[in-house]
Amino acid sequence: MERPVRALLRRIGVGLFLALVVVFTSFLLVKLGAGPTDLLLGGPSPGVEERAQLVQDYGLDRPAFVQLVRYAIRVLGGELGRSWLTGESVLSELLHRLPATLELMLYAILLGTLMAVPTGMAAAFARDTAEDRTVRGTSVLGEAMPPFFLALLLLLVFFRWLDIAPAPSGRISIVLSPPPTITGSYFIDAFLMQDSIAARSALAQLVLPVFTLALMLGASLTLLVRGAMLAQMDAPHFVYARAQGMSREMLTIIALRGALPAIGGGLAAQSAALLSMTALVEYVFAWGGIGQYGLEAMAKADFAAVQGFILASAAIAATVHLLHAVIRRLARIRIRRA
Amino acid sequence: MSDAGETAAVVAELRRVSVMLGRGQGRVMALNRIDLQVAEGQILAVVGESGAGKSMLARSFLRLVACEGGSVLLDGDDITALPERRLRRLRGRMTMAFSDPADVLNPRMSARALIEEPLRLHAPRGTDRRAAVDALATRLGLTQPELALRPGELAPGRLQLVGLGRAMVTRPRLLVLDEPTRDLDAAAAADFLAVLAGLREDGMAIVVTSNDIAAVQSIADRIAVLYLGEISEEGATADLLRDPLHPYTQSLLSAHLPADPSRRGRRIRLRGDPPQPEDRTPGCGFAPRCPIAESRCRSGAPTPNQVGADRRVACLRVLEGTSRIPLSR
Ligand code: SF4
Repeated sequence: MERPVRALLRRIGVGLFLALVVVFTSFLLVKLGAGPTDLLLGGPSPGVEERAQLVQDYGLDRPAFVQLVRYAIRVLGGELGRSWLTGESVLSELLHRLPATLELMLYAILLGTLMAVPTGMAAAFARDTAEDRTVRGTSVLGEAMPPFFLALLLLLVFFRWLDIAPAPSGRISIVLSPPPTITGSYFIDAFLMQDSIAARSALAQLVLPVFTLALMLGASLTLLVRGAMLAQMDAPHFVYARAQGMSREMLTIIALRGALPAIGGGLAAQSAALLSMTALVEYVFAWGGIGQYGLEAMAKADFAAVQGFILASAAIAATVHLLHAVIRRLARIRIRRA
Repeated sequence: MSDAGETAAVVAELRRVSVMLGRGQGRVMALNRIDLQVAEGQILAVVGESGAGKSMLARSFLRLVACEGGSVLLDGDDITALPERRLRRLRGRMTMAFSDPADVLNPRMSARALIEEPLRLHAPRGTDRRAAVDALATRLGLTQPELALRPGELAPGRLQLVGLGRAMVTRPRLLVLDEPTRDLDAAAAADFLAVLAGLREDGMAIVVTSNDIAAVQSIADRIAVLYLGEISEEGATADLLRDPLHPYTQSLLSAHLPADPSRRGRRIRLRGDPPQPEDRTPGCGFAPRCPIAESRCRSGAPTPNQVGADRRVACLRVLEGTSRIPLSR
């Protein structure tokens, strides 16, 4: 247990270092790019007092290096500043919106994986047949499609034409009030409160955005699964198993066991990068998560909020990678014990 | 071939089988229109350097690779287009052992369990599997204590016998061994081949590949020489050894001349390295290294020609009888 723990600590250390890099980079971008920092932090027309306060808070009259250090210390202390747009603390706004985004991402990852793994495996077993080519073609197409385009396409078909999906008006029907916050997921919270109408509405709202993301994620994951399986199928032990006349199920297990590390790694990388897609999808569906928050902040040059969003996405990516590392370690320990 | 006095039934046959590997720009021909057959109780040795396509040829017999053209037959039945599901039922009748058993055998199973496993897949219910394994082990010379060991605890030669046992336990019609002696030392290889030679009486058709013609010539009934995915020469062993007609066969055999001073100087040194399929030049594949290549060899590709009653040679000069490399070189 000693070594895994140390390895995890090291990963956390690396994560913190990366956070610093992100802070530094975003600081630098602002310094190089836009106009006076106090303007960015205070909105288009801060009052004289407000401005003086900002200069005081962030040390804007001091050299850039001092500003950076001060800023970094504030950020690492969890102080992300206030959005001039809403006047709220950025941190509390992000935390408030985080469950909505995480819910979307989590379901999308689950659904995408559920779609991609069997499809990729089937394609690998049917290598170079029409079935395989269809899967490959569709996946490449799905990979290349912009997320908001797919989202609009699904809306057009299922909301406008078929009229079986609800309007893209957020996380729950506008005539219902959200359930009290327990986990932050409207669906789960409504379910826990045994409010079946709210639960059903929350679920219906989830379907299209989750599908959009799952399809995007699933497309590239399918190709990854297919490739990883094919690599296994060329390995001697697999050819040998085939020569033995093992059943398709046994062969699947053999290949999957070997392909799992590659698939897990790819899934982790894609999940970590999923937030950028989620942001666009959130925007289309008025989801109100941190993705939409970040996009709107960017459009309005709400600097503190943008910085908060960048840090939040870095944190999500780091968490995904950390989780992946933990799972891999546990799997390795289990294999060694077996 | 049948007029050479052989009456044994053909068990497995490749008819103009081609196999492509890779995709797109990197797509190469691993096997080019191979014709080959092996009969009951016969051992066919396929000899070639690495990259010649031995493994692909071995796998083609069992339909473990997709053929680009041609057909594969087992006991006269065309199995070229059979789906994997149907092939699976045949996999007890055509079996294979690989050169590196440590790579493919489950390290946690005992030798006995490993040999027995194919019976679980293919033998009818009620078969006395234990007795079958015991009988087979005796024939292969595996002792009871050895049967209790796991792959990691067995010497390479003994482990290869376990691999052989696993391939034989279902009493196949066709047994394919892909370079079974590659990783064995000379003594273990000789032992293994001796066991193999003893299996001829079972009536199986046996295909064994090797990169060493000297190692297999003592047990093979027929030898096929493979070069760059094509058969250079094929014939009955004694016949082929006495008078190798293809320049490549001659060079292979000369590399193994006994240390006999009177025969010195006949060793034929080939220029260059064993080629890989992607290096294939037009014309005769062997031309870049052939000591007696002519200019026409680089334009026209020779196809295997029947020479005499029972020999095929793919050399442009064989028809004029000038394919023997002169002694004075
Ligand atoms: S065809 Fe020409 S190059 Fe090829 S083996 Fe015969 S003599 Fe040599």
